[in-house]
Amino acid sequence: MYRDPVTKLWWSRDLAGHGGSSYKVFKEGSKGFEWLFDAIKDGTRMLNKHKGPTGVFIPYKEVIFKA
Amino acid sequence: MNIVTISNFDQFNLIINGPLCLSGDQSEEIYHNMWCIALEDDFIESIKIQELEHFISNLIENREQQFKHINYKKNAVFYMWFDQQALQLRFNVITGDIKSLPFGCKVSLINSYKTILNNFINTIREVAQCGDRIEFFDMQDENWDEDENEEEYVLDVFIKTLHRN
Repeated sequence: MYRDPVTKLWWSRDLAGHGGSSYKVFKEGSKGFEWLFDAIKDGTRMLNKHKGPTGVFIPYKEVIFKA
Repeated sequence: MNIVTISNFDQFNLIINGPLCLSGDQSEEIYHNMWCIALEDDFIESIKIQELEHFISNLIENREQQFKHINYKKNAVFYMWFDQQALQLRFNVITGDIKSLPFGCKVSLINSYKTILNNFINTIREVAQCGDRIEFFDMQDENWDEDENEEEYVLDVFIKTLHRN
């Protein structure tokens, strides 16, 4: 994962690449990483229809940091 | 795409009864028909795999009924997969057939959605308890999203052709 120093968001390559998605974008929260949205190659957010509270937290525990 | 975090069984009906849009425009169909489903922490522990299977069975049945009522002339497919990065169960309906699936990775088509549901439930329970293993890159590395030595990613996808009759 890569952290954007300006927005503080974390970017990861989208492995499935569904519908033209190139990246998955997360934010850091108190519980872990929260998935925010999928983005296309130029970084533009894919269009979403929000149906309610979103967010999946990946706890920091056992996270591997690589220099 | 529709994004939802489920905390109780009633919310599954929102998804089952969601509208179906078929136009032949894949971007438009993804916008209207695709769902990204996450589960609340408490719900992850309480839901049973059989209940999730029941939800998917009802969902597919309803999408087939919707397809019949639309009286659309072209073929359409329902497909579902587990997005392990977003920790979401995802599905979509598009015009076309197996060749139309819009994935950027290699796809392994599977006959039963139970495999995908098991993977979804087991993974999100494991992450909820133990956390995920995430690889971080140096912020100065401009090629952080390229890895020539990485094994080809293969995604399990369940696909169901929607029938008019």
